[in-house]
Amino acid sequence: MKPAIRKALWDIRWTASWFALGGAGYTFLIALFYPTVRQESQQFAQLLATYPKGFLAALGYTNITSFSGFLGGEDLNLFWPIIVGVFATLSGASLVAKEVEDGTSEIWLSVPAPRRRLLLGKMVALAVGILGAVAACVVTVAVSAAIDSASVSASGLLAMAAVMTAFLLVIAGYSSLLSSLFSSRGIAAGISFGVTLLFYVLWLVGGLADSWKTLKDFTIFAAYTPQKALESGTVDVLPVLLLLGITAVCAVAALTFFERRDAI
Amino acid sequence: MPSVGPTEAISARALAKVYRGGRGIFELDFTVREGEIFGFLGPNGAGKTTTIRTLIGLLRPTAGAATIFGLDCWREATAAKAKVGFVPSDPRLYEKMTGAAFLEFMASYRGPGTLDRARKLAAELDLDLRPRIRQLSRGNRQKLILVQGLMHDAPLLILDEASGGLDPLGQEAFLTMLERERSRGRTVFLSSHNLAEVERVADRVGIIREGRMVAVEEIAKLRELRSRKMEVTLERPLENGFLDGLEGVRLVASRDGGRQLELAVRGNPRTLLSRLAGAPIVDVVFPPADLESVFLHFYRDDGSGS
Repeated sequence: MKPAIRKALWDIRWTASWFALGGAGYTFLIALFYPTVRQESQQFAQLLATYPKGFLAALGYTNITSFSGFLGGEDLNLFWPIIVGVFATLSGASLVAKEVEDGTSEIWLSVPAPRRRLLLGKMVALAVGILGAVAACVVTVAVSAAIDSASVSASGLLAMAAVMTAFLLVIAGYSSLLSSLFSSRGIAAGISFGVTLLFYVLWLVGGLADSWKTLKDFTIFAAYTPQKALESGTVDVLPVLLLLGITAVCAVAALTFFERRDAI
Repeated sequence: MPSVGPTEAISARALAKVYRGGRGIFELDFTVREGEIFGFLGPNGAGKTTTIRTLIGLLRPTAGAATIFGLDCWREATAAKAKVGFVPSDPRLYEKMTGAAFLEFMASYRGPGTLDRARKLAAELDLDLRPRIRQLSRGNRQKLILVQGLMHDAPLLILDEASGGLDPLGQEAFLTMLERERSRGRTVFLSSHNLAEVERVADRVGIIREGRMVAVEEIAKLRELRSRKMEVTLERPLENGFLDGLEGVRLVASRDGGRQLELAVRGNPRTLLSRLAGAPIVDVVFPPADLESVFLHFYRDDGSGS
């Protein structure tokens, strides 16, 4: 499987790097504003109190005066996952469909290796890309905290990394499955974006009223709690395991279907 | 599954791949013997590439089965592909890679020594492996994919329109290479719509039309069957009965008051040429036989042609 992983890593090296850099760069820029917010924390808190609850929930604002609360509300809860989620979606949707669209599947599958191994190699490479993007964000948060004289714990950073990784892996998982099912990157990515958006809408609606709270549990966003993980240094194990479980199911389904389908 | 003899490199039994809309290949039955060059002839859209993609395990047969050295092309595709050097038709390659990186990647799935052999083949074909693939001309891309197909010294070569894009020198080198591979005991499945190319190197020929194998013939038999067109321009019309008694010669058309004749010539043209030597000839055009001339024969025989 090594050649498949090496080739897939080579293929995604620039895309992964740019998205990781984009996510980390945005995080760094946002973190630069934290000292100002900390100084004017009371005014900011009063200002935020005037916003509708639903709007704040949509952006993930809880406590803007702490470093993790500020970074969570401004970046980690929504914008970072959008930036890197696009990478997970597009790269996942490309795994099989790009080879079919580009006409390279004939060469790709002419080698004497089982199809599942060839696709698994690409999946592993994508997971490495995701880990790279998460690592870039974690390092940026740690460096930014040091610059801003804020404190974040190593366990907090690790817990945040685990939550972020599981979240991106599940997006990559269902994007890969869709790529295996359809021979078009556009269709696979479109459906995948649609599914993620649906989860987000359900998650938002679930936050609007107590009676709708259960809706949140049916979304991948229920397990995506980077701010909480950064603050507490712990992970809600069950939701994260659930995401990893869904990822595994999607990956196995993608491999199984790919092995049985026409490759052209 | 019927048993497969040890001398069969490829065996197809009622092999079918039918697409939605009804196109595809239907009940193909043929074998390719070990050590032979088997020409696979058919016009564009006849089903040559679909057959090859089914053999190489890219497409799942809708009925029947095919084997490569006794290995099922779908269920045992990985083991079967280990025995195949494959050159696809009009291949799309990884454009950002250099030729050398591409061959290195493909060689990583093959045995030791593959890369050395690839370099030798590239040198033989005068192919520079340093540029990126997107910078290569069509001919050089074809050379690269040929090197990729031949580099691991596979016992069976499956070549789909492999000489397309090669210049005359490249085509000559390609055919010489095939003859050399046969002399080394390799089997070649050569798909082409170029009759002259197939006639030169193949031992047997399978002819596919509209997804069905219409004939499998020895190459000598094919030469006997196919007609070549001859155009004769004369100063004045020939006498009546000039062409009578010439076996295998048929007058297809007469124009310009009999000064321009179109003949269909089957078999050896020696007798015809001797007789024409005494005729008031201005010009004679006798091009190589094309695929159409072969198909005309089979269309007529199965009664489906017009």
